[in-house]
Amino acid sequence: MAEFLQFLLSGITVGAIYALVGLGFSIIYNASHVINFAQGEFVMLGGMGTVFLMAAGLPLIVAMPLAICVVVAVGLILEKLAVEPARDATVVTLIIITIGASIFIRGAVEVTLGKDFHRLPGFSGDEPILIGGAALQRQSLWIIGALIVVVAGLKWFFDHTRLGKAVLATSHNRIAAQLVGIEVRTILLVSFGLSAGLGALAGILTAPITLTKYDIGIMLGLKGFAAAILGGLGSGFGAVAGGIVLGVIEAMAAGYVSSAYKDAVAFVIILGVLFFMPSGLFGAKGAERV
Amino acid sequence: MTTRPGTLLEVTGLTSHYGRIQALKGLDLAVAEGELLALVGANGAGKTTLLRTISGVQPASGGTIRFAGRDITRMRAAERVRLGIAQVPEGRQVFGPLSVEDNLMLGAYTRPRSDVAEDIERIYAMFPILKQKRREPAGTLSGGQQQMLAMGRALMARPKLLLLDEPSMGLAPLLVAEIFATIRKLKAAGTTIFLVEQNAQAALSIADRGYVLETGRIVLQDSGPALLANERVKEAYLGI
Ligand SMILES: Nc1ncnc2c1ncn2[C@@H]1O[C@H](COP(=O)(O)OP(=O)(O)OP(=O)(O)O)[C@@H](O)[C@H]1O
Ligand SMILES: [Mg+2]
Repeated sequence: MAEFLQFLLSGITVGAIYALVGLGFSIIYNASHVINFAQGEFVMLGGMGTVFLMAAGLPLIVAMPLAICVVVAVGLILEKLAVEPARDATVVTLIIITIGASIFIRGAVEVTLGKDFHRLPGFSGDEPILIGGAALQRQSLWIIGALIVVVAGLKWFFDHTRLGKAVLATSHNRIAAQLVGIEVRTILLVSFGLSAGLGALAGILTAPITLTKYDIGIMLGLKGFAAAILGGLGSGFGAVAGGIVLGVIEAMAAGYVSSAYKDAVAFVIILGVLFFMPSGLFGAKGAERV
Repeated sequence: MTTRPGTLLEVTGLTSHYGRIQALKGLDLAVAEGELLALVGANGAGKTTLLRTISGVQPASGGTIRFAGRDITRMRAAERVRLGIAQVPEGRQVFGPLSVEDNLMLGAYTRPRSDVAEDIERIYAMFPILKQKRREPAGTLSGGQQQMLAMGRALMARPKLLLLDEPSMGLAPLLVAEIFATIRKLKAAGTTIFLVEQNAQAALSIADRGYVLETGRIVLQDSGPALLANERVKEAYLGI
Protein backbone atom coordinates (compact mmCIF):
# COMPACT_ATOMS: atom_id res chain seq x y z
CA MET A 1 0.00 0.00 0.00
CA ALA A 2 2.76 2.43 0.95
CA GLU A 3 4.46 1.41 -2.26
CA PHE A 4 1.36 2.11 -4.31
CA LEU A 5 0.96 5.49 -2.63
CA GLN A 6 4.58 6.28 -3.37
CA PHE A 7 4.16 5.51 -7.07
CA LEU A 8 0.93 7.48 -7.16
CA LEU A 9 2.51 10.56 -5.59
CA SER A 10 5.48 10.59 -7.91
CA GLY A 11 3.16 9.84 -10.84
CA ILE A 12 1.00 12.84 -10.06
CA THR A 13 4.05 15.05 -9.68
CA VAL A 14 5.58 14.23 -13.06
CA GLY A 15 2.06 14.16 -14.49
CA ALA A 16 1.57 17.77 -13.42
CA ILE A 17 4.76 18.69 -15.28
CA TYR A 18 3.56 16.86 -18.39
CA ALA A 19 0.27 18.70 -18.01
CA LEU A 20 2.01 22.10 -17.98
CA VAL A 21 4.00 21.16 -21.07
CA GLY A 22 0.89 19.71 -22.73
CA LEU A 23 -1.04 22.94 -22.10
CA GLY A 24 1.63 24.77 -24.08
CA PHE A 25 1.13 22.42 -27.03
CA SER A 26 -2.64 22.87 -26.85
CA ILE A 27 -2.57 26.67 -26.73
CA ILE A 28 -0.38 26.98 -29.82
CA TYR A 29 -2.27 24.24 -31.61
CA ASN A 30 -5.55 26.01 -30.95
CA ALA A 31 -4.38 29.33 -32.28
CA SER A 32 -2.47 28.10 -35.31
CA HIS A 33 -3.06 24.35 -35.80
CA VAL A 34 0.68 24.02 -35.52
CA ILE A 35 2.23 21.40 -33.26
CA ASN A 36 5.13 23.33 -31.82
CA PHE A 37 7.97 20.86 -31.44
CA ALA A 38 10.07 23.58 -29.85
CA GLN A 39 7.81 23.38 -26.77
CA GLY A 40 10.30 21.07 -25.01
CA GLU A 41 13.04 23.62 -25.66
CA PHE A 42 11.04 26.25 -23.77
CA VAL A 43 11.02 23.84 -20.83
CA MET A 44 14.76 23.28 -21.05
CA LEU A 45 15.47 27.01 -21.43
CA GLY A 46 13.44 27.78 -18.33
CA GLY A 47 15.42 25.35 -16.18
CA MET A 48 18.84 26.10 -17.67
CA GLY A 49 18.19 29.84 -17.63
CA THR A 50 17.35 29.78 -13.94
CA VAL A 51 20.39 27.63 -13.13
CA PHE A 52 22.72 30.05 -14.83
CA LEU A 53 21.08 33.19 -13.49
CA MET A 54 21.40 31.73 -9.98
CA ALA A 55 25.02 30.79 -10.66
CA ALA A 56 25.52 34.44 -11.57
CA GLY A 57 24.43 35.29 -8.05
CA LEU A 58 20.73 36.05 -8.37
CA PRO A 59 18.32 34.61 -5.78
CA LEU A 60 15.70 32.14 -7.03
CA ILE A 61 12.90 34.63 -6.56
CA VAL A 62 14.55 36.95 -9.10
CA ALA A 63 16.13 34.34 -11.37
CA MET A 64 12.86 32.48 -11.92
CA PRO A 65 10.73 35.34 -13.27
CA LEU A 66 13.67 36.65 -15.22
CA ALA A 67 14.21 33.26 -16.87
CA ILE A 68 10.49 33.04 -17.68
CA CYS A 69 10.64 36.48 -19.32
CA VAL A 70 13.65 35.46 -21.38
CA VAL A 71 11.88 32.31 -22.57
CA VAL A 72 8.70 34.26 -23.39
CA ALA A 73 10.90 36.54 -25.49
CA VAL A 74 12.34 33.47 -27.24
CA GLY A 75 8.78 32.27 -27.94
CA LEU A 76 7.82 35.64 -29.40
CA ILE A 77 10.96 35.72 -31.54
CA LEU A 78 10.25 32.20 -32.77
CA GLU A 79 6.76 33.28 -33.83
CA LYS A 80 7.96 36.53 -35.39
CA LEU A 81 11.00 35.23 -37.26
CA ALA A 82 10.13 31.66 -38.10
CA VAL A 83 6.38 31.09 -37.99
CA GLU A 84 4.87 34.39 -39.13
CA PRO A 85 6.91 34.81 -42.34
CA ALA A 86 5.69 31.33 -43.34
CA ARG A 87 2.11 32.04 -42.30
CA ASP A 88 0.67 31.07 -45.66
CA ALA A 89 2.64 27.83 -45.83
CA THR A 90 1.03 24.51 -44.99
CA VAL A 91 0.75 23.35 -41.41
CA VAL A 92 3.28 20.60 -42.12
CA THR A 93 5.83 23.20 -43.22
CA LEU A 94 5.23 25.17 -40.03
CA ILE A 95 5.72 22.04 -37.93
CA ILE A 96 9.01 21.35 -39.68
CA ILE A 97 10.05 24.93 -38.94
CA THR A 98 9.41 24.35 -35.23
CA ILE A 99 11.51 21.18 -35.35
CA GLY A 100 14.30 23.18 -36.95
CA ALA A 101 13.97 25.85 -34.29
CA SER A 102 14.16 23.27 -31.52
CA ILE A 103 17.37 21.79 -32.94
CA PHE A 104 18.81 25.30 -33.21
CA ILE A 105 17.90 26.26 -29.64
CA ARG A 106 19.25 23.00 -28.23
CA GLY A 107 22.48 23.40 -30.19
CA ALA A 108 22.89 27.00 -29.08
CA VAL A 109 22.52 26.02 -25.42
CA GLU A 110 24.89 23.07 -25.80
CA VAL A 111 27.56 25.31 -27.28
CA THR A 112 27.18 28.20 -24.83
CA LEU A 113 26.21 26.52 -21.55
CA GLY A 114 27.68 23.06 -22.01
CA LYS A 115 26.44 19.49 -21.77
CA ASP A 116 26.45 19.00 -18.00
CA PHE A 117 23.53 18.13 -15.79
CA HIS A 118 22.44 20.92 -13.46
CA ARG A 119 20.24 20.94 -10.44
CA LEU A 120 18.24 23.64 -8.75
CA PRO A 121 17.69 23.49 -5.00
CA GLY A 122 14.16 22.54 -3.91
CA PHE A 123 12.12 25.70 -3.33
CA SER A 124 11.31 24.73 0.27
CA GLY A 125 14.23 22.52 1.03
CA ASP A 126 14.84 18.91 0.07
CA GLU A 127 13.53 17.15 3.18
CA PRO A 128 10.60 14.94 2.06
CA ILE A 129 7.27 14.82 3.89
CA LEU A 130 6.16 11.35 5.01
CA ILE A 131 2.53 10.39 4.32
CA GLY A 132 1.32 6.87 5.10
CA GLY A 133 4.80 5.45 4.63
CA ALA A 134 5.35 7.24 1.32
CA ALA A 135 7.74 10.13 0.86
CA LEU A 136 6.33 13.24 -0.77
CA GLN A 137 8.90 15.66 -2.09
CA ARG A 138 8.24 19.23 -1.03
CA GLN A 139 8.84 20.30 -4.60
CA SER A 140 5.82 18.18 -5.63
CA LEU A 141 3.57 20.55 -3.73
CA TRP A 142 5.02 23.50 -5.61
CA ILE A 143 4.48 21.72 -8.91
CA ILE A 144 0.90 20.69 -8.20
CA GLY A 145 0.10 24.09 -6.72
CA ALA A 146 1.53 25.82 -9.78
CA LEU A 147 -0.59 23.62 -12.08
CA ILE A 148 -3.74 24.56 -10.15
CA VAL A 149 -2.90 28.27 -10.33
CA VAL A 150 -2.10 28.04 -14.04
CA VAL A 151 -5.34 26.20 -14.83
CA ALA A 152 -7.38 28.72 -12.86
CA GLY A 153 -5.53 31.59 -14.54
CA LEU A 154 -6.07 30.18 -18.02
CA LYS A 155 -9.73 29.59 -17.30
CA TRP A 156 -10.12 33.19 -16.21
CA PHE A 157 -8.22 34.40 -19.29
CA PHE A 158 -10.37 32.48 -21.76
CA ASP A 159 -13.71 32.97 -19.98
CA HIS A 160 -13.45 36.55 -18.82
CA THR A 161 -11.10 38.59 -20.98
CA ARG A 162 -11.76 39.96 -24.43
CA LEU A 163 -8.29 38.92 -25.59
CA GLY A 164 -8.89 35.37 -24.36
CA LYS A 165 -12.17 35.20 -26.23
CA ALA A 166 -10.47 36.59 -29.33
CA VAL A 167 -7.99 33.70 -29.10
CA LEU A 168 -10.88 31.21 -28.94
CA ALA A 169 -12.66 32.91 -31.84
CA THR A 170 -9.51 32.85 -33.97
CA SER A 171 -9.00 29.22 -33.18
CA HIS A 172 -12.55 28.40 -34.22
CA ASN A 173 -12.73 30.50 -37.39
CA ARG A 174 -9.76 32.54 -38.49
CA ILE A 175 -11.51 34.31 -41.37
CA ALA A 176 -14.49 35.35 -39.26
CA ALA A 177 -12.06 36.56 -36.60
CA GLN A 178 -10.36 38.81 -39.13
CA LEU A 179 -13.76 40.06 -40.27
CA VAL A 180 -14.53 41.38 -36.78
CA GLY A 181 -11.17 43.11 -36.66
CA ILE A 182 -9.06 40.65 -34.66
CA GLU A 183 -5.39 40.83 -35.67
CA VAL A 184 -4.46 37.19 -36.15
CA ARG A 185 -0.76 38.11 -35.87
CA THR A 186 -1.35 39.41 -32.36
CA ILE A 187 -3.25 36.27 -31.38
CA LEU A 188 -0.39 34.08 -32.62
CA LEU A 189 2.12 36.13 -30.66
CA VAL A 190 0.02 35.89 -27.51
CA SER A 191 -0.23 32.12 -27.91
CA PHE A 192 3.48 31.60 -28.45
CA GLY A 193 4.33 33.89 -25.56
CA LEU A 194 1.89 32.16 -23.24
CA SER A 195 3.07 28.67 -24.22
CA ALA A 196 6.70 29.64 -23.84
CA GLY A 197 6.01 31.03 -20.38
CA LEU A 198 4.18 27.87 -19.31
CA GLY A 199 6.97 25.70 -20.69
CA ALA A 200 9.60 27.73 -18.84
CA LEU A 201 7.63 27.47 -15.61
CA ALA A 202 7.45 23.69 -16.00
CA GLY A 203 11.18 23.50 -16.63
CA ILE A 204 12.02 25.53 -13.55
CA LEU A 205 9.66 23.65 -11.24
CA THR A 206 10.94 20.26 -12.30
CA ALA A 207 14.65 21.08 -12.24
CA PRO A 208 15.04 20.29 -8.51
CA ILE A 209 13.59 16.80 -9.11
CA THR A 210 14.62 15.66 -12.56
CA LEU A 211 17.73 17.85 -13.00
CA THR A 212 18.16 19.82 -16.19
CA LYS A 213 20.44 19.63 -19.19
CA TYR A 214 20.59 21.05 -22.71
CA ASP A 215 18.70 18.11 -24.20
CA ILE A 216 16.10 17.50 -21.50
CA GLY A 217 13.50 19.19 -23.69
CA ILE A 218 13.38 16.30 -26.14
CA MET A 219 11.90 13.85 -23.66
CA LEU A 220 9.79 16.38 -21.73
CA GLY A 221 8.45 17.79 -24.99
CA LEU A 222 7.52 14.32 -26.13
CA LYS A 223 5.77 13.53 -22.86
CA GLY A 224 3.89 16.82 -22.96
CA PHE A 225 2.87 16.07 -26.53
CA ALA A 226 1.64 12.63 -25.45
CA ALA A 227 -0.36 14.28 -22.64
CA ALA A 228 -1.90 16.76 -25.08
CA ILE A 229 -2.95 14.19 -27.64
CA LEU A 230 -4.14 11.74 -24.99
CA GLY A 231 -6.44 14.46 -23.66
CA GLY A 232 -7.39 15.60 -27.15
CA LEU A 233 -5.19 18.21 -28.85
CA GLY A 234 -6.51 21.68 -28.24
CA SER A 235 -8.45 20.80 -25.12
CA GLY A 236 -6.94 22.51 -22.08
CA PHE A 237 -8.76 20.27 -19.63
CA GLY A 238 -7.70 17.29 -21.73
CA ALA A 239 -4.02 18.23 -21.56
CA VAL A 240 -4.19 18.36 -17.77
CA ALA A 241 -6.04 15.06 -17.47
CA GLY A 242 -3.78 13.48 -20.11
CA GLY A 243 -0.68 14.64 -18.28
CA ILE A 244 -1.76 13.24 -14.91
CA VAL A 245 -2.89 9.94 -16.46
CA LEU A 246 0.39 9.60 -18.34
CA GLY A 247 2.45 10.43 -15.27
CA VAL A 248 0.63 7.90 -13.10
CA ILE A 249 0.78 5.11 -15.70
CA GLU A 250 4.47 5.77 -16.16
CA ALA A 251 5.16 5.67 -12.45
CA MET A 252 3.19 2.43 -12.04
CA ALA A 253 4.90 0.82 -15.02
CA ALA A 254 8.29 1.85 -13.69
CA GLY A 255 7.47 0.71 -10.16
CA TYR A 256 5.68 -2.58 -10.76
CA VAL A 257 7.19 -3.70 -14.05
CA SER A 258 10.56 -2.16 -14.77
CA SER A 259 11.86 1.35 -14.99
CA ALA A 260 13.16 0.37 -18.42
CA TYR A 261 9.56 0.64 -19.67
CA LYS A 262 8.93 4.08 -18.25
CA ASP A 263 9.63 6.09 -21.38
CA ALA A 264 8.01 3.50 -23.62
CA VAL A 265 4.63 4.30 -22.05
CA ALA A 266 4.51 7.71 -23.72
CA PHE A 267 5.34 6.26 -27.14
CA VAL A 268 2.73 3.54 -26.79
CA ILE A 269 0.15 6.16 -25.81
CA ILE A 270 1.04 8.44 -28.72
CA LEU A 271 0.75 5.58 -31.22
CA GLY A 272 -2.34 4.11 -29.60
CA VAL A 273 -4.18 7.43 -29.56
CA LEU A 274 -3.22 8.30 -33.12
CA PHE A 275 -4.39 4.90 -34.38
CA PHE A 276 -7.48 4.21 -32.33
CA MET A 277 -8.71 7.44 -30.79
CA PRO A 278 -7.57 10.39 -32.91
CA SER A 279 -9.55 12.95 -30.95
CA GLY A 280 -8.21 11.77 -27.59
CA LEU A 281 -10.21 11.69 -24.39
CA PHE A 282 -11.69 15.20 -24.50
CA GLY A 283 -10.94 16.54 -27.99
CA ALA A 284 -13.59 17.79 -30.40
CA LYS A 285 -14.83 14.88 -32.48
CA GLY A 286 -13.87 15.00 -36.11
CA ALA A 287 -11.45 17.88 -35.67
CA GLU A 288 -8.70 17.86 -38.22
CA ARG A 289 -5.55 16.07 -37.25
CA VAL A 290 -2.04 16.47 -38.46
CA MET B 1 -8.69 58.36 -60.73
CA THR B 2 -10.30 60.86 -58.39
CA THR B 3 -13.21 59.82 -56.24
CA ARG B 4 -16.52 61.56 -56.82
CA PRO B 5 -17.96 63.25 -53.77
CA GLY B 6 -20.38 61.01 -51.90
CA THR B 7 -18.68 57.82 -53.06
CA LEU B 8 -17.88 55.57 -50.09
CA LEU B 9 -16.43 52.56 -51.85
CA GLU B 10 -14.82 52.60 -55.26
CA VAL B 11 -13.42 49.50 -56.92
CA THR B 12 -11.43 49.81 -60.16
CA GLY B 13 -10.03 47.06 -62.36
CA LEU B 14 -10.13 44.60 -59.47
CA THR B 15 -8.78 41.11 -60.11
CA SER B 16 -8.31 38.19 -57.74
CA HIS B 17 -7.01 34.66 -58.16
CA TYR B 18 -7.21 31.31 -56.40
CA GLY B 19 -3.91 29.83 -57.54
CA ARG B 20 -4.21 29.91 -61.31
CA ILE B 21 -8.00 30.28 -61.34
CA GLN B 22 -8.98 33.89 -61.91
CA ALA B 23 -12.19 34.58 -59.96
CA LEU B 24 -12.42 38.35 -60.56
CA LYS B 25 -11.54 39.62 -64.02
CA GLY B 26 -11.29 43.38 -63.68
CA LEU B 27 -14.28 44.78 -61.82
CA ASP B 28 -15.33 48.40 -61.61
CA LEU B 29 -18.01 49.43 -59.19
CA ALA B 30 -18.88 52.22 -56.80
CA VAL B 31 -21.12 52.49 -53.77
CA ALA B 32 -22.42 55.90 -52.78
CA GLU B 33 -22.88 56.96 -49.19
CA GLY B 34 -26.29 55.90 -47.82
CA GLU B 35 -27.00 53.72 -50.83
CA LEU B 36 -28.29 50.13 -50.87
CA LEU B 37 -26.48 48.39 -53.67
CA ALA B 38 -27.38 44.87 -54.75
CA LEU B 39 -25.08 42.51 -56.63
CA VAL B 40 -26.68 39.45 -58.17
CA GLY B 41 -25.14 36.55 -60.02
CA ALA B 42 -25.25 32.80 -60.42
CA ASN B 43 -23.29 30.18 -58.46
CA GLY B 44 -19.57 30.66 -58.84
CA ALA B 45 -19.86 34.11 -60.46
CA GLY B 46 -17.39 35.52 -57.94
CA LYS B 47 -19.71 37.34 -55.55
CA THR B 48 -18.18 35.94 -52.37
CA THR B 49 -14.68 36.46 -53.74
CA LEU B 50 -15.50 40.13 -54.38
CA LEU B 51 -16.75 40.71 -50.84
CA ARG B 52 -13.79 38.83 -49.35
CA THR B 53 -11.41 40.94 -51.41
CA ILE B 54 -13.12 44.14 -50.27
CA SER B 55 -12.80 42.99 -46.66
CA GLY B 56 -9.19 41.97 -47.16
CA VAL B 57 -9.40 38.27 -46.34
CA GLN B 58 -8.70 37.43 -49.99
CA PRO B 59 -5.82 39.22 -51.73
CA ALA B 60 -6.39 41.40 -54.78
CA SER B 61 -4.02 40.48 -57.60
CA GLY B 62 -4.63 43.76 -59.41
CA GLY B 63 -6.72 46.92 -59.44
CA THR B 64 -7.55 49.18 -56.54
CA ILE B 65 -10.08 49.46 -53.75
CA ARG B 66 -10.70 52.90 -52.31
CA PHE B 67 -12.77 53.46 -49.20
CA ALA B 68 -13.74 56.92 -47.96
CA GLY B 69 -11.08 58.37 -50.21
CA ARG B 70 -8.25 56.07 -49.04
CA ASP B 71 -6.52 53.35 -51.00
CA ILE B 72 -7.08 50.21 -48.94
CA THR B 73 -6.09 47.63 -51.57
CA ARG B 74 -3.20 46.25 -49.50
CA MET B 75 -4.52 47.04 -46.05
CA ARG B 76 -4.93 44.25 -43.47
CA ALA B 77 -8.45 42.98 -42.88
CA ALA B 78 -8.60 44.07 -39.25
CA GLU B 79 -7.62 47.63 -40.18
CA ARG B 80 -10.41 47.79 -42.74
CA VAL B 81 -12.87 46.89 -39.99
CA ARG B 82 -11.45 49.75 -37.95
CA LEU B 83 -12.05 52.08 -40.92
CA GLY B 84 -15.69 51.01 -41.02
CA ILE B 85 -16.11 47.99 -43.30
CA ALA B 86 -17.99 45.10 -41.67
CA GLN B 87 -19.11 41.90 -43.34
CA VAL B 88 -21.79 39.32 -42.70
CA PRO B 89 -20.05 36.41 -44.40
CA GLU B 90 -21.61 33.68 -46.49
CA GLY B 91 -22.72 30.79 -44.29
CA ARG B 92 -22.86 33.15 -41.26
CA GLN B 93 -19.57 31.94 -39.72
CA VAL B 94 -20.58 32.63 -36.14
CA PHE B 95 -18.13 31.57 -33.42
CA GLY B 96 -19.95 28.34 -32.58
CA PRO B 97 -18.43 27.44 -29.21
CA LEU B 98 -18.76 31.00 -27.86
CA SER B 99 -21.97 32.35 -26.39
CA VAL B 100 -24.30 34.62 -28.35
CA GLU B 101 -23.28 37.54 -26.18
CA ASP B 102 -19.57 36.83 -26.66
CA ASN B 103 -20.11 36.77 -30.41
CA LEU B 104 -21.68 40.22 -30.22
CA MET B 105 -18.98 41.46 -27.89
CA LEU B 106 -16.30 40.33 -30.35
CA GLY B 107 -18.17 42.15 -33.11
CA ALA B 108 -17.17 45.32 -31.26
CA TYR B 109 -13.51 44.26 -31.07
CA THR B 110 -12.36 47.45 -32.81
CA ARG B 111 -14.52 49.74 -30.70
CA PRO B 112 -14.02 51.31 -27.28
CA ARG B 113 -15.11 48.94 -24.51
CA SER B 114 -17.30 51.64 -23.01
CA ASP B 115 -19.72 51.46 -25.97
CA VAL B 116 -20.16 47.71 -25.93
CA ALA B 117 -22.89 47.23 -23.33
CA GLU B 118 -25.12 49.89 -24.87
CA ASP B 119 -24.61 48.57 -28.41
CA ILE B 120 -25.42 45.02 -27.35
CA GLU B 121 -28.75 46.25 -25.99
CA ARG B 122 -29.39 47.96 -29.33
CA ILE B 123 -28.87 44.63 -31.12
CA TYR B 124 -31.09 42.81 -28.60
CA ALA B 125 -33.83 45.35 -29.28
CA MET B 126 -33.48 44.61 -32.99
CA PHE B 127 -33.41 40.80 -32.53
CA PRO B 128 -35.12 39.96 -29.21
CA ILE B 129 -34.55 36.23 -29.71
CA LEU B 130 -30.81 36.82 -29.32
CA LYS B 131 -31.39 38.27 -25.88
CA GLN B 132 -33.30 35.16 -24.84
CA LYS B 133 -30.40 33.00 -26.06
CA ARG B 134 -27.61 35.28 -24.90
CA ARG B 135 -25.85 32.59 -22.83
CA GLU B 136 -26.26 29.74 -25.34
CA PRO B 137 -23.34 28.69 -27.55
CA ALA B 138 -23.88 30.29 -30.97
CA GLY B 139 -23.51 26.91 -32.64
CA THR B 140 -26.74 25.67 -31.07
CA LEU B 141 -28.90 28.39 -32.69
CA SER B 142 -31.10 27.69 -35.71
CA GLY B 143 -30.01 28.92 -39.15
CA GLY B 144 -32.21 32.00 -38.97
CA GLN B 145 -31.03 32.89 -35.49
CA GLN B 146 -27.41 32.47 -36.57
CA GLN B 147 -28.07 34.83 -39.46
CA MET B 148 -29.43 37.42 -37.04
CA LEU B 149 -26.42 36.91 -34.82
CA ALA B 150 -24.04 37.31 -37.77
CA MET B 151 -25.81 40.57 -38.67
CA GLY B 152 -25.78 41.73 -35.07
CA ARG B 153 -22.09 40.91 -34.79
CA ALA B 154 -21.29 42.96 -37.89
CA LEU B 155 -23.43 45.88 -36.67
CA MET B 156 -21.56 45.90 -33.36
CA ALA B 157 -18.63 47.39 -35.31
CA ARG B 158 -20.91 50.36 -36.15
CA PRO B 159 -19.87 50.06 -39.79
CA LYS B 160 -19.99 52.79 -42.38
CA LEU B 161 -20.33 50.09 -45.01
CA LEU B 162 -22.08 46.79 -44.36
CA LEU B 163 -21.30 43.90 -46.72
CA LEU B 164 -23.93 41.16 -46.72
CA ASP B 165 -23.18 37.85 -48.45
CA GLU B 166 -26.38 35.94 -49.22
CA PRO B 167 -28.14 36.64 -45.92
CA SER B 168 -31.24 34.75 -47.09
CA MET B 169 -29.42 31.57 -48.04
CA GLY B 170 -31.05 28.42 -46.70
CA LEU B 171 -33.75 30.24 -44.72
CA ALA B 172 -37.51 29.61 -44.66
CA PRO B 173 -39.59 32.26 -46.52
CA LEU B 174 -40.85 33.87 -43.32
CA LEU B 175 -37.30 34.35 -42.05
CA VAL B 176 -36.17 35.65 -45.44
CA ALA B 177 -38.87 38.31 -45.18
CA GLU B 178 -37.69 39.20 -41.69
CA ILE B 179 -34.07 39.51 -42.77
CA PHE B 180 -35.00 41.73 -45.71
CA ALA B 181 -37.18 43.89 -43.46
CA THR B 182 -34.16 44.35 -41.21
CA ILE B 183 -31.98 45.33 -44.17
CA ARG B 184 -34.55 47.94 -45.17
CA LYS B 185 -34.59 49.34 -41.65
CA LEU B 186 -30.80 49.56 -41.57
CA LYS B 187 -30.85 51.46 -44.83
CA ALA B 188 -33.51 53.82 -43.49
CA ALA B 189 -31.22 54.44 -40.52
CA GLY B 190 -28.54 55.59 -42.95
CA THR B 191 -26.20 52.58 -43.22
CA THR B 192 -24.56 52.07 -46.59
CA ILE B 193 -25.22 48.49 -47.65
CA PHE B 194 -23.68 46.25 -50.28
CA LEU B 195 -25.98 43.25 -50.60
CA VAL B 196 -24.95 40.13 -52.49
CA GLU B 197 -27.76 37.71 -53.32
CA GLN B 198 -28.78 34.82 -55.50
CA ASN B 199 -32.34 35.77 -54.57
CA ALA B 200 -32.33 38.48 -57.26
CA GLN B 201 -36.03 39.30 -56.97
CA ALA B 202 -35.87 40.15 -53.28
CA ALA B 203 -32.53 41.93 -53.49
CA LEU B 204 -33.33 44.11 -56.50
CA SER B 205 -36.74 45.07 -55.08
CA ILE B 206 -35.18 46.82 -52.11
CA ALA B 207 -32.03 48.10 -53.84
CA ASP B 208 -31.36 51.62 -55.10
CA ARG B 209 -29.05 50.24 -57.75
CA GLY B 210 -27.92 46.81 -58.84
CA TYR B 211 -25.07 45.08 -60.64
CA VAL B 212 -25.13 41.73 -62.41
CA LEU B 213 -21.96 39.65 -62.11
CA GLU B 214 -21.12 36.82 -64.50
CA THR B 215 -17.90 34.77 -64.26
CA GLY B 216 -15.91 37.51 -62.63
CA ARG B 217 -17.19 40.42 -64.73
CA ILE B 218 -19.92 43.03 -64.27
CA VAL B 219 -22.22 42.61 -67.25
CA LEU B 220 -25.09 44.95 -66.33
CA GLN B 221 -25.76 47.83 -64.01
CA ASP B 222 -28.84 49.95 -63.50
CA SER B 223 -31.35 51.07 -60.91
CA GLY B 224 -33.03 48.27 -58.93
CA PRO B 225 -36.45 48.63 -60.64
CA ALA B 226 -34.86 48.87 -64.09
CA LEU B 227 -32.92 45.66 -63.57
CA LEU B 228 -36.06 43.91 -62.35
CA ALA B 229 -37.70 44.89 -65.62
CA ASN B 230 -34.69 43.95 -67.74
CA GLU B 231 -35.40 41.02 -70.11
CA ARG B 232 -31.98 39.47 -69.69
CA VAL B 233 -32.20 39.62 -65.90
CA LYS B 234 -35.74 38.25 -65.93
CA GLU B 235 -34.68 35.31 -68.00
CA ALA B 236 -31.42 34.47 -66.26
CA TYR B 237 -32.13 35.33 -62.63
CA LEU B 238 -35.83 35.69 -62.02
CA GLY B 239 -37.00 32.55 -63.79
CA ILE B 240 -39.65 34.46 -65.69
N1 LIG C 1 -11.08 28.60 -51.98
C1 LIG C 1 -11.18 28.49 -53.32
N2 LIG C 1 -10.22 27.85 -54.02
C2 LIG C 1 -10.30 27.74 -55.37
N3 LIG C 1 -11.28 28.26 -56.11
C3 LIG C 1 -12.26 28.91 -55.47
C4 LIG C 1 -12.26 29.06 -54.05
N4 LIG C 1 -13.36 29.75 -53.69
C5 LIG C 1 -14.01 30.02 -54.84
N5 LIG C 1 -13.36 29.51 -55.91
C6 LIG C 1 -13.76 29.64 -57.31
O1 LIG C 1 -13.87 31.01 -57.62
C7 LIG C 1 -15.03 31.24 -58.40
C8 LIG C 1 -15.91 32.25 -57.69
O2 LIG C 1 -16.40 31.71 -56.47
P1 LIG C 1 -17.28 32.52 -55.44
O3 LIG C 1 -17.39 31.70 -54.22
O4 LIG C 1 -16.72 33.87 -55.31
O5 LIG C 1 -18.66 32.57 -56.19
P2 LIG C 1 -20.08 33.03 -55.66
O6 LIG C 1 -20.60 33.94 -56.71
O7 LIG C 1 -19.99 33.55 -54.30
O8 LIG C 1 -20.90 31.69 -55.69
P3 LIG C 1 -22.11 31.19 -54.74
O9 LIG C 1 -23.33 31.83 -55.26
O10 LIG C 1 -22.12 29.73 -54.94
O11 LIG C 1 -21.78 31.60 -53.35
C9 LIG C 1 -15.70 29.89 -58.60
O12 LIG C 1 -15.31 29.40 -59.87
C10 LIG C 1 -15.15 29.03 -57.52
O13 LIG C 1 -15.06 27.71 -57.94
MG1 LIG D 1 -20.87 33.04 -52.56
